[in-house]
Amino acid sequence: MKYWVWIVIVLLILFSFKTFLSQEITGKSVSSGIITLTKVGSAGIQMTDENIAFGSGYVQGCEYAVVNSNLSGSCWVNVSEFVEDYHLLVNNGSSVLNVTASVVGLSDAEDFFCGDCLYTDNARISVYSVNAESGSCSGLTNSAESVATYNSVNNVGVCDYFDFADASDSVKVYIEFYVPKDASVGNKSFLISYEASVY
Amino acid sequence: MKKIILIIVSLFLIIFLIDFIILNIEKFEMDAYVVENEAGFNLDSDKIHFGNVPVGSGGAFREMSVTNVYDEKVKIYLIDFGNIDEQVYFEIDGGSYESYGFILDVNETKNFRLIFRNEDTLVGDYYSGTLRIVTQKLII
Repeated sequence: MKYWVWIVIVLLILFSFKTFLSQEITGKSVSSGIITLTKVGSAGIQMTDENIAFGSGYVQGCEYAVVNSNLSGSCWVNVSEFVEDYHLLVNNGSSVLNVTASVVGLSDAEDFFCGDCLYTDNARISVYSVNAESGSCSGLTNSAESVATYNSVNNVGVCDYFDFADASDSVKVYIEFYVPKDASVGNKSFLISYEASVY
Repeated sequence: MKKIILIIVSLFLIIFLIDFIILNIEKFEMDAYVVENEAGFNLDSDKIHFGNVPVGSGGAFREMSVTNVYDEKVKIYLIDFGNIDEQVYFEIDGGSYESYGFILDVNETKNFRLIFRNEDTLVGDYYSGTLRIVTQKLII
């Protein structure tokens, strides 16, 4: 027989073998295990405090100043424009969500303000959530809640039950600082990570 | 003539071997909207949505896990395609990778983050693509 006939025979044997095997592989592929092979979990979006314009200023007459991006505060003197600002969170999907906030890359609030504040123990970064559209969320923060204190960082629930209906699916998050009087001078920024999981 | 036959036979053999080695390919569509001043979440399961990611923010991520449900060790490859490709990378065991391969023992689970990188230069637009998770027999 010519060599090409042998090649054809070998190929035929190979492909019949393959067909036999592929039935077994297909059998594995439709098992319930394969369907759950990969899980897609929570989603996170990181925003800088630069998305909120605090402007610049200084602490006057107190151990620390309170500066909230909703314009409330005390002992803080602004030397540049400071207007109301916030992070706007929206639920664009069709599932009710639970959303938490945390700081990224900081060991505590002193890390942000001073590096290590030698004379005070009151540095703080907090978040304060309110409905942007009525009825968007139940389980907002009670007041400003700390994502970072002078010696720790925390996960804070900014919205426990975040609705998805178009007219009620957005939440504002204000940022509040306790700026210690020994905060170092200079431009500062940090990241806040908002993480959402299905309720 | 001999050369042509050899090429054809080689191609058949390659196709045969690839089909034999690859156990499974999972494909996930993924997308992200880069927008102004809004962080929008979408956890619907039709796609891997990164959501509405604000311009100039730190980006977005999805937590993911892969479990080996086969009764043998397998090799997993994570690869992404599409116009989202430049922005997406995998964060695994403290490292960042544009694509990644790793071995999983039977029943072992590997957690990783799928990151949508949002550089300052990235303009507001819609970005989309596909994540492929290829499960392959461990040959060597």
